[in-house]
Amino acid sequence: MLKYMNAEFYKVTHRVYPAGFLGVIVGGIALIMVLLRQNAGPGASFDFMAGALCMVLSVGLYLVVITCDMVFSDQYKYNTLKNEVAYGLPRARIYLGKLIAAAIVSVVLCAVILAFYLLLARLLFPLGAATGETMTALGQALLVAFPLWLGGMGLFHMLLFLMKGSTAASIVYVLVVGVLGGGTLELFSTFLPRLRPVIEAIQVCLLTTPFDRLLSGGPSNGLIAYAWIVGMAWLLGSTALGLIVFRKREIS
Amino acid sequence: MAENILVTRGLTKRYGAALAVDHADITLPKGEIYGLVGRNGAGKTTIIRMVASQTVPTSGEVELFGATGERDLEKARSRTGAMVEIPSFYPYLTARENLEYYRRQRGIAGARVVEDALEQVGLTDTGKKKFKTFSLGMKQRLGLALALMNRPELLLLDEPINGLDPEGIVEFRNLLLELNRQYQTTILISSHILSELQNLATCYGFIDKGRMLEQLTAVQLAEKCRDCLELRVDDAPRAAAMLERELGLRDFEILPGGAIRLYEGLSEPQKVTRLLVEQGIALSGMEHRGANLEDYFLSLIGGVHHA
Repeated sequence: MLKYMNAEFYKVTHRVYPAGFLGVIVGGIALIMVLLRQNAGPGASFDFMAGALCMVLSVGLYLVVITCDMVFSDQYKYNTLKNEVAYGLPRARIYLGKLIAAAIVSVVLCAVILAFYLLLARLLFPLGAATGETMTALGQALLVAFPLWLGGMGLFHMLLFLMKGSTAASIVYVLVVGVLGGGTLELFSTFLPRLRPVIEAIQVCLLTTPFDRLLSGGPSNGLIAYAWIVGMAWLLGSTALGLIVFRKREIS
Repeated sequence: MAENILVTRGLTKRYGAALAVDHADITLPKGEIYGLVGRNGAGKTTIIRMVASQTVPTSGEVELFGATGERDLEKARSRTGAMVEIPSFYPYLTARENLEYYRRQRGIAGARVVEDALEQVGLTDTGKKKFKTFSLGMKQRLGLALALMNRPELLLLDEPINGLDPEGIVEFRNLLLELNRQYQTTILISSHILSELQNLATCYGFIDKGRMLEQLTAVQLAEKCRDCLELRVDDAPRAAAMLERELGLRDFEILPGGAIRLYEGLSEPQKVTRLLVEQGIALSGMEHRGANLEDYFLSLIGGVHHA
């Protein structure tokens, strides 16, 4: 497995994709922060900027589409999986190796982006009155977000392996994560009130629900535990399903 | 008895209602070059893909290096090299980077193996050129380099000379023969270019509509394709005795159905006919026969098809 992951890291680091992605994100952050600094009122501080970060952590659910795609690299489009299975690499190793590599790449990119954001915020804005508390809240919010990102990664990884192209996989992923979690179920329950209990039960399981609760109530130990249960359920469930289907899949 | 590197038993692949491969039995002894001959869609690629684990057989069994279970087969496949259909690599990586990626993935020790593999196929000067800009011939060479990188004991090659120029075909043939001679590499190769296959293969498997029609060695094929005079007579044993006694011809065979295949005296058929007529043997037909692999294959599938 380590050899497999070593090869994946070799491939990812020899692509322009990660550097390009990082450049766009970091450039965007820098641009927004400079604009905010120029137009900021007297209340703008590092604490405010760090607190704002907690509000946008759900974006990570969509960024995993990019980091998983970086590692998966359009295997079906380029037909490169045949080189792996023909050599006798176990399909479980291929599936899990890419998943773990994608998770590590995501964590590294996420760490770089977060570090850049906080460093730039520290350079451009003065410290506030409650920096310690804000950083603790940010840490807790990250503990809520991390398992959900992993859950999203597990789901998207499964879709990449099971579907023909990464564009189709991305569309289905956004439909499942974004549209289901974006108020569609609320709409259903309005028109079909008898289904409300079922819809509420589904909502509890969605990857976006803990983020909604983070926005409305802030981080807490209870929310962290809930997020881990939801995230791990999606990760393990989708990985198990993906492994079962990929085991017998035709590799052209 | 020679060790068998690959054995398939009743290998079958069905896609919905279509039967792509129908109970194919192949035996490939160590050190042989096995030419898989068949028309488009006959099932050659599907057989190779099943051996290479790219598709799961509907029924039947693959035995590689004596291994049959799924786990053991996975291990056994690390002793093989495969090039199935058009070689596929990451378009944004160079030849070296692509091979280095697979070297790391497969845990093959020594970065030198990448250079060696590229050298073997004549791709050392591709530099920073990305795979996506390669010609078909270059892609074929890189595919072969990957297949050779782990010094395989069994090479699975599906239409490997497609896209190669004439010089490349000769180099490719020499490389395979060298591998076979020097390292006893066993090779399973399918190709549409039957004349090229005839230059390489030491045994053949003929497949049509998913069914293995016949397997024979190159010696057996040569025997079957040998130049001969086929005589159809009313009394074959007497005619044969006459030819031996009067003309001293000994290299012949009597076929079922009253025919004699004569492998000598081909330059003077009139002597043969005169003798038979003089001896009162009715000669209903005489034909000069001789075939190459293509002729033999066409006769086997019963007509002229595109092979």
